[in-house]
Amino acid sequence: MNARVAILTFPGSNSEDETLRACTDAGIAAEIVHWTAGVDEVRAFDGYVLPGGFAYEDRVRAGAVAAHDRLMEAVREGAERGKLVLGICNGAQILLEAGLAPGLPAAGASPARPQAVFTRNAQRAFLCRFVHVLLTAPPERCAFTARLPAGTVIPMWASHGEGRLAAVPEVLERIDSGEHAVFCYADAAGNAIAAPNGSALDAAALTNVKGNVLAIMPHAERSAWAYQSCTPAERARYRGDTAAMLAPAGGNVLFQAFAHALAAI
Amino acid sequence: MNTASTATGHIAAAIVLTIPDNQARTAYSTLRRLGLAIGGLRRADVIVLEDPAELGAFEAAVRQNEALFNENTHDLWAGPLEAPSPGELWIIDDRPERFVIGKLGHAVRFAGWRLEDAAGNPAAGEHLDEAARLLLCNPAVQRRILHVHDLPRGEYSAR
Repeated sequence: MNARVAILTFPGSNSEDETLRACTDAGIAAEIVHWTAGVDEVRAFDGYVLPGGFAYEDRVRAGAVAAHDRLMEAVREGAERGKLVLGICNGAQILLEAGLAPGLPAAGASPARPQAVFTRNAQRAFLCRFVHVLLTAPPERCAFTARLPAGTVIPMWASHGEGRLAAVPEVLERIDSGEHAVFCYADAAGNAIAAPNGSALDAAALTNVKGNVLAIMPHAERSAWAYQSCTPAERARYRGDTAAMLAPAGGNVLFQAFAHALAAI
Repeated sequence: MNTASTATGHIAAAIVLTIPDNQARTAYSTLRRLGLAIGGLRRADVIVLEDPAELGAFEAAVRQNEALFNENTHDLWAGPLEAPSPGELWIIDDRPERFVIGKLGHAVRFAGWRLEDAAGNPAAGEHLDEAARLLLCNPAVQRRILHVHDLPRGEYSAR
């Protein structure tokens, strides 16, 4: 059976087309699902992607209103049953506001309560920069990284005003000790660097306890083909060569890993 | 806003949209869908001056700040600030941005929500607690202000 993935859009979402193309190129049977879809229709999918953008204009807080959208009932149920859920940028903010990542066990607390948040960058400015993320957790910690070599470095575009991981100290300690921060910011050689947005633990992505939910701030779908690289040398190499420009690159490996993980469930 | 006391010496301006407030409307409909029985919700940007100043000068400075106030779309109330009035929920970020108001000094901003019951009266305290818990306050980065003394003065840096 070919697993079907829903790319859920809310009013204000963007990047869903690039996300769809990145999924499709990796062999994932994905389709864009509008927020007017029925919850049962969404429940029928085998995995979910929440793309970037500004769902509900980021009213109240980034991702806060979308986290309570009725379609998130299906995502929450699916996550609890082990379905794969990927949130990119605003999608990552939604997953944290929904409490799906890091999803730490909390006695007596509602599972829907946020425990951490991707909030305003430390520099209080929008960050638009080509970055690299380093797989710092053991690959098997998260379903999305299980097929990646340890220490994998993936180039991506960071494009956010609110990408700084923040939580109270006890939660940050549990995020750290539980290896929830599967990707951290690094240089191109894979050396860990200080997060360009001041993110706690220099984290670029969080997973949940079971490892089937991944909330990642930089955009893998915007570095999935060679032409999207910002390296002048690479641009020069590909200039005029359409096939080389459209070759899989960078963030494509994350979607390939997603496809492998879907095939394994 | 509670103007009963000036004991703290804090003065503030509450800025409210006079055109439809999409953020308040969305928060209202979300809270209703989550089961909170409220009849209305309004939102104000509350600007609190950290330094002593004359109220009239402060109000004039806020009115002249185009990043904060537009007379075509906003109403403004200015006065001494003490604690939330009944039905009010004050939520501030843990690291609020400090900014300069004219030549009067630094100020911080927080969200002032006013919840009403179906009859238009201030919402009950338990409804405020529930609204904060469900949507309006993320405890990872925000906190509820119960008195102006709770403002995180000096705990953050201006960048």
